[in-house]
Amino acid sequence: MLIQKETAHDVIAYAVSLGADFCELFIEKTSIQSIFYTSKKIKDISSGIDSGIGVRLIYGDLALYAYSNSNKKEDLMDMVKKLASQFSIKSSHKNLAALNFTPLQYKMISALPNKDVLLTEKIEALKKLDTLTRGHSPLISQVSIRFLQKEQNIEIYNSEGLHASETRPYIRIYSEAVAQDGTEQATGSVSPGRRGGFNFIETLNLQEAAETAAKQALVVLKAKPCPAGVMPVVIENGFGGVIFHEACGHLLETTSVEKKSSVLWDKKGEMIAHSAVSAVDDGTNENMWGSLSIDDEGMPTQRTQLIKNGILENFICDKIGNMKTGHARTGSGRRQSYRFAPASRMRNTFIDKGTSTLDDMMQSMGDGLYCAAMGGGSVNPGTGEFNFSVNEGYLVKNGKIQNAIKGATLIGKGADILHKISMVGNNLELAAGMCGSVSGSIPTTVGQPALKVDDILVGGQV
Amino acid sequence: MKNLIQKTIDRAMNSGADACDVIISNGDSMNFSAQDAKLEKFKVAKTSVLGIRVIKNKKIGLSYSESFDEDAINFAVKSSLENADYSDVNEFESIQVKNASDFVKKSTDKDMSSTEEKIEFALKLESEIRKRDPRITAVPYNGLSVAESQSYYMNSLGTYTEEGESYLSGYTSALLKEGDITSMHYSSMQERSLAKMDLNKCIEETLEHAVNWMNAKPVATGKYDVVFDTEVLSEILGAFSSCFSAKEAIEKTNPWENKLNQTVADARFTMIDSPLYADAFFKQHVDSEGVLKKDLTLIDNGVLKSFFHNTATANYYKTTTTGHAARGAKSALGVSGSNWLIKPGTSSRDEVTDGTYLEVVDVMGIGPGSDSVSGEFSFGASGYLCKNGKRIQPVKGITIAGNFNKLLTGIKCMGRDLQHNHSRGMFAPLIKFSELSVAGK
Repeated sequence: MLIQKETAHDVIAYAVSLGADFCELFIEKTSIQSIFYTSKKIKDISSGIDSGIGVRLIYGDLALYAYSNSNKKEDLMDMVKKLASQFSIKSSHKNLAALNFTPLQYKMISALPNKDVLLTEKIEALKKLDTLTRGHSPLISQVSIRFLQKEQNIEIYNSEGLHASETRPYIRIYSEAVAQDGTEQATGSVSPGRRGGFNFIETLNLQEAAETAAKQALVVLKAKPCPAGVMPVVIENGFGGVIFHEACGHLLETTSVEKKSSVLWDKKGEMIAHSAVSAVDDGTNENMWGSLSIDDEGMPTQRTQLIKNGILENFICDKIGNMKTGHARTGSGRRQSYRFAPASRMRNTFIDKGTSTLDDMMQSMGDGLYCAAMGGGSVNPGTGEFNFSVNEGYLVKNGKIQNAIKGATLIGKGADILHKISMVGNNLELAAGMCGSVSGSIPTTVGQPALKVDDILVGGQV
Repeated sequence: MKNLIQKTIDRAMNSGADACDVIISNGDSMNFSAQDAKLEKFKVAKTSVLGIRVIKNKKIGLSYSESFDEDAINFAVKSSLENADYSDVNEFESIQVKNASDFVKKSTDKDMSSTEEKIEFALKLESEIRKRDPRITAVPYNGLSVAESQSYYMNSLGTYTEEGESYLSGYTSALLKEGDITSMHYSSMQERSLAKMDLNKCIEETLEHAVNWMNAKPVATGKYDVVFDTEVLSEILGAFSSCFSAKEAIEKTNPWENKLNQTVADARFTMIDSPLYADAFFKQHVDSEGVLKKDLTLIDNGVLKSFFHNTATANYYKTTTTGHAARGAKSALGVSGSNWLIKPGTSSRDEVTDGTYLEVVDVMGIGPGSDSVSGEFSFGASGYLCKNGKRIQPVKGITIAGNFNKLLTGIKCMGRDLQHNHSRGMFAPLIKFSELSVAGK
């Protein structure tokens, strides 16, 4: 327990006495350890503890938020008073009905046990990954690995009597390989992550991770500039799902929908994608990077069908989104830490598997671009315009993979592209990522099977 | 704060550290967000973080704490020393800055406006922009932020510095819709006081492009000369800033690692890092090791003259620090730049804007679309097709691709008048870059 139940009660009762329609305390203590390994050396090891309490008051549809590193009752009361007084909100002399905080019962998303290991074991794993990556080719000139492990402990109280808590362990490795030939350099990377402890690293296939990063760097090193133009593309599974995440997922968050700043805000029940497309946002996948037992508003998470056979079925909704749009809450209120008010955010978001094989798609495409690994991108939710970089791509001629290309970007509008996904593969895979938005940077999973997009503008060299 | 830092250093030294430094970062902020003629969100933030770096047997250990009580500080000191035990020997990183006197610069020019005035400003920003065009269906981002930060640094040699800032940021946006056509743009402003905030200018900048792009279309795929808006130019240089990093050069991820004193840009191109540039909004007096900052010429008439150095990279290269150490309370020692000045050329505006070219005022995905190691870039862009200085067609839905090295050597023309970006951290003349690859229709 990070604060006493009585303290939570008194602070919430005080907020309600100042006229708040709703008060919520989000209490957090997170321990973090990071290791940076480069040039075959442990460069830095850092550790620390983030701890604080966020207070959210809702008056009508006005949301007020403040936070503090202090867990003292008087400091929390003072914070509530300052928030309310900023707006000359007079005491409504509301009396809070007796609050009996009963710990919320919910199904815990299983997490890989957070096995306690010595730093030396973690360092050994990094050294092994470095050796395996360099061993792939003498052209690998550098390997840099960042290791992150954290345990987030959260506790939530609110004026509706909710009391919920959860411990969330996370672990991730980001490894970048640099390949060099004369003055030419190129990079490749791999970044597996899980909700769980060191057991994940023990079960991770380091040989495969090393090969993925090294191979990508070597491929890009010999790649030719990508030709520009509109062409069909096949986007490989796993992190390729970042396009759906950016180009559609963000448009389904009620944070955008409530402001009507999403092009999909009024499209529920309509055909917004090709009938081959079904998509899900699921907070309950075991051990996945974006999974939560409860969201950061204390609601148990769920599997939310976003699109079914092309039809928009649900939005991603938090408490404020529910208040403003009437859409049902989906256990999607998320935040980076106590420093952020929650907002509707994605969890593990993916396009569900279809029936096509990769070969079917290549043959159907004829000439085009095969995106074996996607990089990051961004979207303008208001217009749906997006862009994504291709980390590893190949030209395709007559359905056969040809030479590797570099410097390619895919751009388009989410609403258009969803209708142009004409084939969905049978090889669904998920990948860990970090998503930045209004409530901070949070762990999310993206995913998809391989997809064929009939045509899209590919940015490259002319 | 000074006492707390001193106490922490004493504790680390008494616990076995050979040397140590401590940073405390304090921040206070308020954010007012207005939507549909109402205040929608109000956020108050107050943060404090203490970060420790210890050196023990030539090994580095880092830790931080957001709590300043005795137990938390003791735990942070203990953790940093344990982390050092597991690190590899680092021959170059040390605590070596010993100043003769303390440096203290507190935040000045604090805004004195009331909360009511700030709320009124955020509301007015939204209501005014909505009045300007009936096609505005939403103002997705609109509000005002007030921020104050103070950074404290001390090392075990007794060097102490303190530097603070306070400022306001206003921002608005407009989403226009007519039939199936949508367009959106966002603009922001920074000032020291609410009274100096130019609401109209922010609205006009937002609407100028949002309205024009309702009629935008892609240009034909081909090679185009390009003039980047100063904001965009700043983003491009930021994406390739590792070219100036001595730390990245040591780690073999700086493509200009071996290019010191070699030509990397057009002979007319001179770029200076100017932490105290008179017109800059933020001025940086000291770096994260306590070194007083000064101007540094990075590229002189096309020749790479220096990298950003901290004392560790300077030791490696057997040179002196340039005062570009960068370290936050939660991060390791690195390097970073401050305000960037590209020296003006000799061409008039008419000369720069002669002929047909693309004026690029907004970009998407510069970060993920830029490979700082290979120099390749490809990102989405919006702007205008121009002829002899006149915008003849609004442009959207295109990509611009090239290579950073070729970009800087392929300068066609440099203007003689300086312009700056929104945050007044980048100052550059109009520059026309020749024949970049543009993918459109």
